[in-house]
Amino acid sequence: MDTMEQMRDVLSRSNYESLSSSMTDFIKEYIQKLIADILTYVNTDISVGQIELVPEYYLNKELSQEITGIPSAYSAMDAPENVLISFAAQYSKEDVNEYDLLVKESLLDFLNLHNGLFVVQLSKLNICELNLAAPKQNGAFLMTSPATGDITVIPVTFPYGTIRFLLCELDGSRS
Amino acid sequence: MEEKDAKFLICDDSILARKNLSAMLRSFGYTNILEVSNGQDAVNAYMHEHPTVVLLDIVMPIKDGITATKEIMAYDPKAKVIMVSSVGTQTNLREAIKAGARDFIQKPVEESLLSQVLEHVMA
Repeated sequence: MDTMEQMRDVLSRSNYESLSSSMTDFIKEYIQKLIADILTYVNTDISVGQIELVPEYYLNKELSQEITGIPSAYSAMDAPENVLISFAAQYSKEDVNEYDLLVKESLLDFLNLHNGLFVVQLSKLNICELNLAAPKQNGAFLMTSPATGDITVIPVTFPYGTIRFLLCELDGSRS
Repeated sequence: MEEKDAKFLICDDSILARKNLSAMLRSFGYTNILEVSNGQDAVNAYMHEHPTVVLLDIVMPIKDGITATKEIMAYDPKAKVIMVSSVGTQTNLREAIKAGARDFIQKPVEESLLSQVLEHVMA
């Protein structure tokens, strides 16, 4: 099975299809690319849980990156520290055991890589030309959805735990 | 100058990206490698260190890679700048080349591609 087939297989076992009428093409493309990139660069042993649309989400620590342009979007990831450490170790192939700078940098590096490849895909398909802001890490953060729509929560389960990837479209003028 | 004496300047805000690029350069036999984490530091380092090749990310805080490339090229029109970015959109490719970059490598960086690009740029 190639990566695209694996991605479709993973998503077919989630509520992605049943929820797709509630999501914009931008969000749907983002989810597909996210799963494909995780399968390619991190782990093939994953499943996607119940994708949810929520009005707000509390992040214990902000690991995020903004996609700029029209449409613009805010992306982030959230999980307990031990899960983030395992994800970072697997992605970076570094021997990391505590939530330190290298772990945070590895997480942001993945977010930047995935968002970059997503933006490149949209560019290659001549859908739109977007760019990225520098990824950022901060303390606790309450993510609230803008007027343009809800926050999409994409829970991806790995052998070591679940990471929630978050995305919400922002008003183009906010970019 | 012996090829392996070449001096490299890696500019990326990601520690992991700098570590990976540096490891690849070392595996090619290069040992003179400088690292900075934003475009402004890259411009300053270029002016002081005159590296043979600059490997420059685009999306960075303080000063982005395209702006840094323009400033490096204004200082030294013969500078050898290679953009290394995850955001290889048509716009960024165009802007990078317009700014004076010799080539563009899409992340994740493949060692074989980096080797080919260096061979071409350093020829």
